[in-house]
Amino acid sequence: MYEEILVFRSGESFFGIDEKIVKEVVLVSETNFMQIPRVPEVIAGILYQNSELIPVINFQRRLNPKYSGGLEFSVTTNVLVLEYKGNLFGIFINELPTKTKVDKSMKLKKPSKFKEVIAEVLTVDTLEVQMLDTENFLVKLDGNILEVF
Amino acid sequence: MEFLEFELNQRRFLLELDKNPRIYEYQYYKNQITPLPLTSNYVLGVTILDNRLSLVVDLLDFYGYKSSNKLDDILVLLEFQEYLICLKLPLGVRRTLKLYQPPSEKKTGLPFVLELIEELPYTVFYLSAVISVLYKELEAETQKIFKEINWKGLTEVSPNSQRQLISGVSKFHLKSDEVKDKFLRLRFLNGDILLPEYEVFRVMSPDDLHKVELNFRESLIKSVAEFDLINLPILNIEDIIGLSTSKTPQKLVIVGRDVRKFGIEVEDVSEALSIEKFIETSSEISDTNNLPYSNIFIDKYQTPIFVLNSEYLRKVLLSKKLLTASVSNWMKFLRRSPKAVDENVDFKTQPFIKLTTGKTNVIFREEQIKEIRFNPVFKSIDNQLGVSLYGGSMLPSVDLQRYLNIDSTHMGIFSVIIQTDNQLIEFRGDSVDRFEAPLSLSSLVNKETASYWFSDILYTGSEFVVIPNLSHFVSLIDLNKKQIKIVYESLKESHSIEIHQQEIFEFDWFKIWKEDVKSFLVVFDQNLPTLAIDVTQIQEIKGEGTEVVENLIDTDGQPIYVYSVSNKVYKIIDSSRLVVAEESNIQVENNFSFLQIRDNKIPIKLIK
Repeated sequence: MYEEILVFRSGESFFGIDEKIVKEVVLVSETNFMQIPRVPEVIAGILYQNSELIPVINFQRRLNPKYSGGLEFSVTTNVLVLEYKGNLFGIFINELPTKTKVDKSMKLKKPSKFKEVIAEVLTVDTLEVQMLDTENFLVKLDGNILEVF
Repeated sequence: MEFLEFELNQRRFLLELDKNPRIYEYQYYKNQITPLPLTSNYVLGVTILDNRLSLVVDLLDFYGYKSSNKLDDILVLLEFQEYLICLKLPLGVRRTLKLYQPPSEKKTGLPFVLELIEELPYTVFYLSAVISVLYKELEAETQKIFKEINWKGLTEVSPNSQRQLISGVSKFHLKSDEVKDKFLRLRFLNGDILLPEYEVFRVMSPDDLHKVELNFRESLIKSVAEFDLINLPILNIEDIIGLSTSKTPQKLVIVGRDVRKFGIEVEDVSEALSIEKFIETSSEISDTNNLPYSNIFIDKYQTPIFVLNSEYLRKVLLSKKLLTASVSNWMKFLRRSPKAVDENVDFKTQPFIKLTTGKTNVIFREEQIKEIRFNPVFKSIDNQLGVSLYGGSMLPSVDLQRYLNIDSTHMGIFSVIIQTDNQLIEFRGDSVDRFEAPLSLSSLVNKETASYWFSDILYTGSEFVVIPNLSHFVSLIDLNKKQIKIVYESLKESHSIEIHQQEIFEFDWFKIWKEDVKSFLVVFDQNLPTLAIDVTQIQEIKGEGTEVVENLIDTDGQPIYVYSVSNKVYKIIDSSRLVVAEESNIQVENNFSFLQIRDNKIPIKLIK
């Protein structure tokens, strides 16, 4: 069970991720982020941060391989830098996340969509927050492989 | 002239005969005709008659008459010039007629009606006309087939290759290298495929690989497996060639020795044998570059055997981006390795040339560069490759903007020519820049595998730069060798007159070339048709030791200024372009010498 989660919005939905694996949140600029041509669209690009080059996942595309929109850059475009099993990954998100404490009174339910990458749905106040299944989201990237090309 | 007379539904027909036709009874050969996949009804298939493989065509069906299908129908094997064709005809009144006065010399291809005195009118088919119309139609037919199975638009099926396929069926002998090669015979339920032994990487059980079934329709492949760091597309041979397997095929054949592998599921695989062991008849492989199979045989049990054109299949898979690394491998590939920076020590100590297109910076070590040019004559083949003229020869060219963004029609005007181990490759972009060793570098893992178009990404402290993976581009060029040659020939022809002038005058500012260890920078003035420069245009010179070496005049007596550049960077303010050259070392003999520029076309007199 998570003690703290980071909640962020993508489209109309809210998503959460275990705060323990989030290393930092980095604001994207032209000098620290590059989109790479001719790689699968689920890879948003490369982030340079603290002398590291970090591959960044296009969150929308990872969630839904049929998502056809491109990356949208704005003043609030951020990369969540995650450290998982010794590796660094980034998730490209369009709004700043907020940190929330999780307590036992919060309701849990099974996800109704994106079941492959969402572990469960947590009710925070009145918001339904879809919690990412880190292992599936970061490691098992090959489902519907050809649809992402 | 001799004609064969036959009858159907009270209509009489005459077919011109050439040489001695061989006539066979259809009922005995009916089961020995192997249907060709995806052809029209009038193409009955192929069969072996008179020890030769022939196409079988229902003549009347082809001309739109209701076809007969009776036991007494006949097959007539005809030879006309280089063509061999077998026509199925109704028996009717079977006799040959000799007409000493041919009814007409018009050989339009359409049958015409001939009225003989006291006879019913005849519809007459001239053989030459039948053959020419039939073959033309078959070419269109082949085109149609490929449109139907959605190959069109991926690569053009050239009329030549169709002609080769069609006429290749009629005349046979083995190509010499195919006689030497050993082949594996891959068995399907309704036919077989022959594959050269050297193409087969591994034969294994399909259950040994983790497969991802496709959930959308893709006629080329039916599934993808992860194998040896790549996505291995498993071909849908049923849609491609028409051969099917049971629901649980026993073997998976992995085809290809490099990273451009694909898989084929089959019922069984034979040991490798010489091709003559499979083919009873002596036959020729027709050289079809743009079809999934290069030839069709039929063995003595009437099993159709297709010789797989794996190079073509690979090309199509590549063009659809189906041969590529898996996403998880991309992520592994993009994962930083602490050692990577050290591995790129070359880039820390050597100057490099940066070619920029859009937001992508591609870098090369300066020593890899043979020449930098401005807007050379270029023709594209597809969105990946093109051909440039280089002196009197061809130069495979990659326009980076279009390579990286397939929808782009933009074309880079700067050309950087790279010397690889085996060949020259041109890369085109929007601007060229030169840097001494970058101040700081970060790097991803450096892996040389042809799957990825780049081998590394570096961060210089202010921007990202990408190191292109030359082996990827070399393999891309290898795959398109024939197409490059064809485009080059047409380019050469269309520019044969203009080349000279373009190379002299159409560079607008400068030109860099190398001659052994010597290289010089010559600045041209775009407003003058002569080689001259106003030195005041150079307003900023970076680096020390730069000096004017000599004043030159060209053969018209116009002055030219040549500067030694000694690894220094010049900036021409007017165009805001950085231009680069290496060490200057002009050899001066006696009072003057000639510098060679581009095949001696412009001798420049150097005054001592």
